[in-house]
Amino acid sequence: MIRLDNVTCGYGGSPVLSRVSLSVAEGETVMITGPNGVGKSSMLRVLAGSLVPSKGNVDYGWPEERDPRHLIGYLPDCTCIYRSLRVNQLERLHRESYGLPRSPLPLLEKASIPESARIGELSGGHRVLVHLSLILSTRPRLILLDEVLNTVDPYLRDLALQEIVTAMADTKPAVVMVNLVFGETAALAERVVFLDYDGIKLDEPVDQLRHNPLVQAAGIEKGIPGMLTELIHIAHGERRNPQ
Amino acid sequence: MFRIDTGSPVPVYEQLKRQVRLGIVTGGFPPDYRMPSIRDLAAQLTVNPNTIAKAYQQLEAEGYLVSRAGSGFFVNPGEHRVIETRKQLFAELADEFVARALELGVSPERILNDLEAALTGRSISDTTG
Repeated sequence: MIRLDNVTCGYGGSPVLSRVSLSVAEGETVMITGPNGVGKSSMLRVLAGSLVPSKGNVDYGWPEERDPRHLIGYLPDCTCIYRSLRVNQLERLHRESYGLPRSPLPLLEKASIPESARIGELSGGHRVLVHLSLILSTRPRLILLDEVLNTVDPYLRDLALQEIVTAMADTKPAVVMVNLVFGETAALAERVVFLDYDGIKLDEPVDQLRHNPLVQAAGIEKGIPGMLTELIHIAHGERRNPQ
Repeated sequence: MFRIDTGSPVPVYEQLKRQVRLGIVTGGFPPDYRMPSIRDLAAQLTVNPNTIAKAYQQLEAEGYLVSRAGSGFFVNPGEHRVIETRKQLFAELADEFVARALELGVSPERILNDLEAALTGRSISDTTG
């Protein structure tokens, strides 16, 4: 079980997240959504260990002798990987620093991304695929995916999602993903966490979402994508017209 | 083979279950047919593998599928399930038909009348209802 316990964090000014708690079971896939600016990406950064909370704890529940970051695959909202390296150089650097055996990266082959291309010369979508391939090759126990697959074209996005699903089936990692576009990703999540300006507003198994009091009160009779879109509209409405 | 609509209010595992049941009663999945593996189907549909597992396990509990250790899920060769499923699918169809007809503002009498007419092959009167 991975736990955020009463986490408060920010970037110097007022905190972005304030006393937020969340737990994710091994093998569970959780989607975090909510309006812009509520701290969804910050929550991923805290889980990834790249943002240290000012208060509260992060507990992965893993053996303590290893740096937990070795067991985390994090695809951030900016794919800031070494732009001057070629794909194969980056792959080698990554493999050696993780102590991994040489193995093919199927996604790059399927996407026809040349090994000799410089990262900086690749399109944004291709850079995301390179980053994702490297992450999946470490067989992480926790996969963190920020909303980046939307910059990938529908064909390659489907390939990327297939790779992610295959990793889910093979190694049963916990997956936390941030999403604002729900069509293709709605069927990946088992649980939805809706983050609002004042914290977690809703935390439900996907199949129970329609029975949630907030959804019921709003009278939303739609599929998952429609429900979540509607909730984001409601959150903005409440912020502009507080009661 | 399967189609998943994430925009539908029907949960994904339920959509899958319905399609498997339909495949079984219509003969698309004959007795002893080996269902696609959870891993392959999850990747193909980009659906969480646990959701596929849930659908298969419920279908197993309901008697449609049997799991064989190490080799996956198969269509239960027992025939009784097929008959029951036909009844269930017809009940769902009838429910849906009645609900849609009422939505269109058709009176219950008219529904009965027109169904009877359709059954006996009479031309449907448009003077009632």
